[in-house]
Amino acid sequence: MKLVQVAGYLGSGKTTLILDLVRALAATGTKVAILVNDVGEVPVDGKVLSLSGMTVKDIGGGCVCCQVAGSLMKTLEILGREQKPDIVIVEPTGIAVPESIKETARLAARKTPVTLGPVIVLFDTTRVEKLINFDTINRLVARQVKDADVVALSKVDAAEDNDISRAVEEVARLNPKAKIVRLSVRSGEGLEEIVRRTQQEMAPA
Amino acid sequence: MSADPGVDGPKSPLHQRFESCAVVAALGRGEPFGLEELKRFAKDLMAAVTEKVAAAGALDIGHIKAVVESGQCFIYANTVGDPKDITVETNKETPQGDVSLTLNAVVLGLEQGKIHMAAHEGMLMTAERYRLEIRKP
Repeated sequence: MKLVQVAGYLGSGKTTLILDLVRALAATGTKVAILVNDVGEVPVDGKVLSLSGMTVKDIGGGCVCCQVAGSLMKTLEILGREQKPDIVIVEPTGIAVPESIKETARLAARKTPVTLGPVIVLFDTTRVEKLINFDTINRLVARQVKDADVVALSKVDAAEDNDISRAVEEVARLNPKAKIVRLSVRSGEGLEEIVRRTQQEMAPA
Repeated sequence: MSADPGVDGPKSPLHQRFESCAVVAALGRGEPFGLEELKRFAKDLMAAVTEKVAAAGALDIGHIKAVVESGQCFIYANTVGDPKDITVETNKETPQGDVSLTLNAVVLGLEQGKIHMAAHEGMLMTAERYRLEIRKP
């Protein structure tokens, strides 16, 4: 099973993308499992996905990139043993560091057949100034972007052109190797590309 | 699921100033909600919690999101702190009976107790506006 992260800062549109992504993958016959880690005390994202008809495993009690990494590892082992999905989509908290999650997946790979798929990081183009210049947030977002294989510039339908240009510039500066995709869940722009990237083969864990 | 001391670690330094809180409640009133009114309730709830958290001194609102359920109807509302940009999505079923609410707020630069108090105040303020009573806090 391949682990695909849909990461990105709080409110960047991860849950909304996953809803469409999972439907698109299921339509191609791909067996998908979803792991959701909410930073809050109760799982809202997992509830939304469940109410939308998806089977979700919630990981609570802290951030999966640090405090509850062990829960992620154990959940991957259980999924690998019981459900054997083709793809596991992990929605970490909006403050998670993707590389730390990859480290945990590498540890899990010692016991369970998990490979690393792409890290898709959403960058909200309606909040570019905050993501680039607001102290604390900018350090976290920079780290997320640096860890990405694909950066999805989210909400492009609602953003100003100059903000989208600034976002492209900043992402390219932080991570020149990342594939940049313009994404609008509302119009469907970029979704096909994200689906294609999700299905692509990557290096073993 | 139990923690794994071999893999679990302390909170990342990048998370240090982020705190979160949850509000879970069952609300009810004599007359039923229509879908549009319940959507307005969800939107007003987001605005009220945003206002209260900002007034309490938050440096930034990371995300406030809620699931509002009534019978088979569910509404997902969320905001990143801009009262003009509150998203409300629904499965378009007709609300039936009491309303259950699950709300999460993730905030930068405000301690957890203050976030909880602000979120609770926002919920009470909105419930009052819609003549809702708290059945189960």
